[in-house]
Amino acid sequence: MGERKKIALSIVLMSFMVLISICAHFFEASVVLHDELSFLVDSLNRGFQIRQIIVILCLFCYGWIFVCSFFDEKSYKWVFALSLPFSISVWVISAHLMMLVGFKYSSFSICVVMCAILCARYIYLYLHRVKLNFNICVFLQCFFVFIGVASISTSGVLLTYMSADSYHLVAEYGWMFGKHGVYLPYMGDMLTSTGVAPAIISSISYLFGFESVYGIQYCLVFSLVCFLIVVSYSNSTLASSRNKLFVFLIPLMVVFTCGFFYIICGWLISNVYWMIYCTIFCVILLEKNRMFKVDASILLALCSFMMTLCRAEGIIFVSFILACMFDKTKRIYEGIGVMACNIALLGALYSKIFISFKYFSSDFLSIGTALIIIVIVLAALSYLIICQLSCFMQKNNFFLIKYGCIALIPLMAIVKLDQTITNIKMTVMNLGMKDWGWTIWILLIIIVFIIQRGIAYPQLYYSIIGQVVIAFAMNCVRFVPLRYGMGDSYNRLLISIIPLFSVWLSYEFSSLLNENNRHAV
Amino acid sequence: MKIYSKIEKIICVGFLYVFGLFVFLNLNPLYSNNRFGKIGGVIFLVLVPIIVLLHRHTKYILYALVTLFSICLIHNVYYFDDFMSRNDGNRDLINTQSYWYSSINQVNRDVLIYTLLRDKTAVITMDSCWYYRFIAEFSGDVELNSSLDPLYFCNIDFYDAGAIRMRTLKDLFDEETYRVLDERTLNEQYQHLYVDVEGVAKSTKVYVYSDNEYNIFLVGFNG
Repeated sequence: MGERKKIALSIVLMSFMVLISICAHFFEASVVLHDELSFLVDSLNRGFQIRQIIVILCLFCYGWIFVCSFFDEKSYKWVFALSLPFSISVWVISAHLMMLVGFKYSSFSICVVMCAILCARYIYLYLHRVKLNFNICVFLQCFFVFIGVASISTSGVLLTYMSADSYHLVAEYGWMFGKHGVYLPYMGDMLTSTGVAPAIISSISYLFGFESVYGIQYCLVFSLVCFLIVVSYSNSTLASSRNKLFVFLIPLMVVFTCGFFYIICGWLISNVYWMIYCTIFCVILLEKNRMFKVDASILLALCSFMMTLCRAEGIIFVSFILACMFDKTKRIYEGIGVMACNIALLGALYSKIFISFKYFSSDFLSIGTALIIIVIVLAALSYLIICQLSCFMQKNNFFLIKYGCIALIPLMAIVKLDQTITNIKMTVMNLGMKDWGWTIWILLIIIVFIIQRGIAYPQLYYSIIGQVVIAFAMNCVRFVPLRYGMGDSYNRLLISIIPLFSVWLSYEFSSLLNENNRHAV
Repeated sequence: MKIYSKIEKIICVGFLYVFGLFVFLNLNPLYSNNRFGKIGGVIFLVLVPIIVLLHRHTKYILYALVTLFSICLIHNVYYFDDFMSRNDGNRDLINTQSYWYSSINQVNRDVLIYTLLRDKTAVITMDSCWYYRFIAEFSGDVELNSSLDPLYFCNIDFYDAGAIRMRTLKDLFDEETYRVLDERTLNEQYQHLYVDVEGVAKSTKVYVYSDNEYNIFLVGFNG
């Protein structure tokens, strides 16, 4: 098919999606209860959808220009899937650093900083004589498709959910960040309760005059789904197209059979962002030598920063994943560098909270907890350095990781027996809820099936299982035990690992169907 | 050997399809109301992994799994039907709206304060100083007014916009107020937001008034 035909096709697709969102708009307007307050709210919120769509498209264009500098001309599918996540990560990290050093964060200043970052990237590429590739036809096709996606995401066809945390810790602090543009001493409770990334993303709504970032969130979920498709399709070296289709279907099916996944996608909370960036981080770590034409440490660092800023304890998972993915044949120095930057980023935030603000009265992050986190991360960093220096360890043998995870739960039981028992009980009850559907049962069957045939990608497997165990252990020593209900924090964390799990399944099945290339451990 | 292999395939794939039938009929042993469904579900949940474990033909297992997943999608229909009609056990998760800007949710109206005060000047009366910082964060501008007579509000027909929960915003309240709000929320005594819709629509200044029950009243300034 010629380029012009492809562009025309993408315009048709866009028109179709825009039409759906317009129909949804009129349908909703006709069925929704109209009372006097509704009319007032409607009049105050006029034009919000359009503004949100424009912001999404600007972010997409920025992301495209930024991300395509890491890929070759043929990898436009990767660029399409990663554009929005990386433009948002550049936004969040720039905003966080600006607020940390006291430089006022506003719509103008952030745009200037982001443009400066983009210019710096292209000057670097120019100086290193890397050939730039920007195919305008491909960009236009993807851009038109994304217009459709943005209009559907903001139309209200897809449901949006909010809990108390979404209202207060994400939406309202987002508006506060947007209004003040700096971290203020009285924000101490928020800064020590959760990660700042969701609130910074939410601040986009304040800066550009709309109310909530639900459309941006759905576009990010769309990017994640595209990413899963691209990963599963491109990792397969299978000759048979039927097998290829199969490997491509499995991750999507794992994700979409779970009813809870639909809920979490529309829930304005940090778990969605965690889910997206954790999946991308792990895949980049696994595939960086194959995926990129140039050094991808910057993308790796951006993902890890987002993970660190998404959750208060996010850096522990980042260091654990890096330790799992360690392979001496690849460049471990990148991993060490990424971790060192993360420690510096977190250290700066902690010093702002505890030294500048003198804030000590949090339920979650106290000086003690902060020190424990820093010690754990430094231990992981030392592990990486020792592994690199050791001439005996040619390959990550997962010995420490495996037995460390096994020992963690009994250790927690010794520290807090009652809470550990309650947490186990609540976890089993939550996994048996209707929200999970049949996903857990089917995944258990598949795990048995894969283990019996030999795990081909143990680094991904251990990073997933390790996250499950570490998160559980951390919940055993926190102040309140887990509870029965869909909104339980551990339950939400488990659902956010599912896309990564589906990627692992895709890799494993690809390997299973391609027995000749099998490299089981 | 060939015959054995065929029988093996039929048994294995057959079991998976019957398992799929159970999914189709929504007979998960953990939440099925049907006793036979529960027993059957448990048996299949035990048997299927064993069959999968013993079976050698990866390809057939994988095809069966794809079919199984497809059938599992049907579960979502049951699930969403149930989720939408649920009004207990998930108090913290509210299906706010299918269309963000139009529908009015009667459970949690915190965002509405921001919507109504975003571009307006909030005039805070002396009896509602307890949420001065809270209002100051979400309004365009803020003023303190000590001279407003509470009787001013008597003739206004307020619209009850629903409950608000300000408990988690610890940073924006003093310790005593936060303790009271926390206690009220734990006892499910939510404070309500009352709006003088006509006044707020016409005016750029909005009076923010409170009563003993920590309810918030938004009144348009027409003086």
